[in-house]
Amino acid sequence: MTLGRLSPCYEGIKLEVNEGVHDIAGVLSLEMLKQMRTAVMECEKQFVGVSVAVSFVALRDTQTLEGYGFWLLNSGGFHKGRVWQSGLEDGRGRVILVVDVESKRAALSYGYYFDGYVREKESFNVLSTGHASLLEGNLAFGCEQILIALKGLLKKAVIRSRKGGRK
Amino acid sequence: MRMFITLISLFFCLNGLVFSQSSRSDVLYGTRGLEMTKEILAELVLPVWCWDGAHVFENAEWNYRLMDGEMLEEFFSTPPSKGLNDPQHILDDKQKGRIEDLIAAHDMKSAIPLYVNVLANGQKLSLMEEELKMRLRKMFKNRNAMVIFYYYGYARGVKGYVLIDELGFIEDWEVDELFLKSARDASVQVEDFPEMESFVMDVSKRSYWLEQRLMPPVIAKKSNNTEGNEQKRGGNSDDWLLILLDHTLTLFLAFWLLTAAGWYYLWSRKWRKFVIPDGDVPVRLNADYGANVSDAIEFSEPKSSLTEQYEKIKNKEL
Repeated sequence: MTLGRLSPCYEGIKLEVNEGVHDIAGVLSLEMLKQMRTAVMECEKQFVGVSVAVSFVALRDTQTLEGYGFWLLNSGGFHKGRVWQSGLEDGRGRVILVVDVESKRAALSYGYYFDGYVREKESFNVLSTGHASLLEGNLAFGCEQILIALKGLLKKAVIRSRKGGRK
Repeated sequence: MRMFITLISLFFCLNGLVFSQSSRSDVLYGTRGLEMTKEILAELVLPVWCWDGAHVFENAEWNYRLMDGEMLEEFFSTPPSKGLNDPQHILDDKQKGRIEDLIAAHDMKSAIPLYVNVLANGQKLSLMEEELKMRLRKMFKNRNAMVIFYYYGYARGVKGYVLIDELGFIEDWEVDELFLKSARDASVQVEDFPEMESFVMDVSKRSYWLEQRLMPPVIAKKSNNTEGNEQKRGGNSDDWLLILLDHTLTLFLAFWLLTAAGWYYLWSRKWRKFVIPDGDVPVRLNADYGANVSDAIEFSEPKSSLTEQYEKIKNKEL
């Protein structure tokens, strides 16, 4: 499965991600949207070259969460009100939390800079922190909790990258 | 007639001389004054009736000098309530306070308390030496004491006694030396009260050596017994406590400095930046930015626990 083959599956989906929040499913109220943007900003403000985004989508049966995350990471247009903190805004420092409100699933997509520094179990644990709130239908609060845990994981990844090679 | 006038003139002259000497004696108190009067009178060839006046004066002065009766008892009241005893109120309140302070300072440091009795210059206790000692022994029964009879204005006439509980009166040249040297040094002072003050201070200082000889301090011997070790431990902890108390301000400032430094460190860590080092990453699946996606969690079924989900993912991978 390559990016080119995926494109027809997700045609018609808006690719503009403003201020780190991408709500195609339309599940966030204005207040929740504001809350999510603040949470995203809090999550990424200590990092240089890292861009965090949250995407709420309602995927069809033919579409997969993993595929959508992969497609959005590479094809999406990420717009931010403020200038990014360094010259690493080429997209390889992106992290996207994708929440499918239809199938009720959530996953994380990472750019290449995190390859070898983030472990599968750790990602699962990060997603687990918001599980209870997501189960209750409190999507904004659940994602906020996930973003807080994600911040810790990204710090760990940066420290690992300083110490040595990728695994 | 000429002879009569000469005798009359001589009579008046001699009378004037005698009375003028008497009035001088009134000023010069004490042994010296009396001796001088006697000398002057002895040099004069006077009729008997002239001597009568001199004897009257001598008796009056003798009465003043001799301390007996109730006044004498004032010096031997048992037990002495204060270190300073001045029944004739020779010292004023300020002077009394000063001497009492000196005595209190001595008593705090010394094992031989100081008792100072104040008499006027030229006065004398109507007691023989042995009688006086007996009364003092009775006063300070089984106690240590250093008793001084100080003649105000005449430090050299001082009389002092040292009593030690077990040894009784200390008849020693060192005791005499203690008081004599103190008196000698004090007599350098011109005025009466500074002289007394100096004397009391000197006696207090010099008595240290006497005390060292008579009552040597007990020096703890090194031993391995438990009691000794406990004392040692107690002493060490006291020392540490004293050192800590001496440096309270320093410790307080150091504590706050360290706390502030700690807070600043934690605060600065909040703002530190994390930079991912740029490296060569192989591009996969024709994707420019990334191709890594984590395992997904489901939140559709409350009954589907996270552990179950994780195990399911692991099994799928296998």
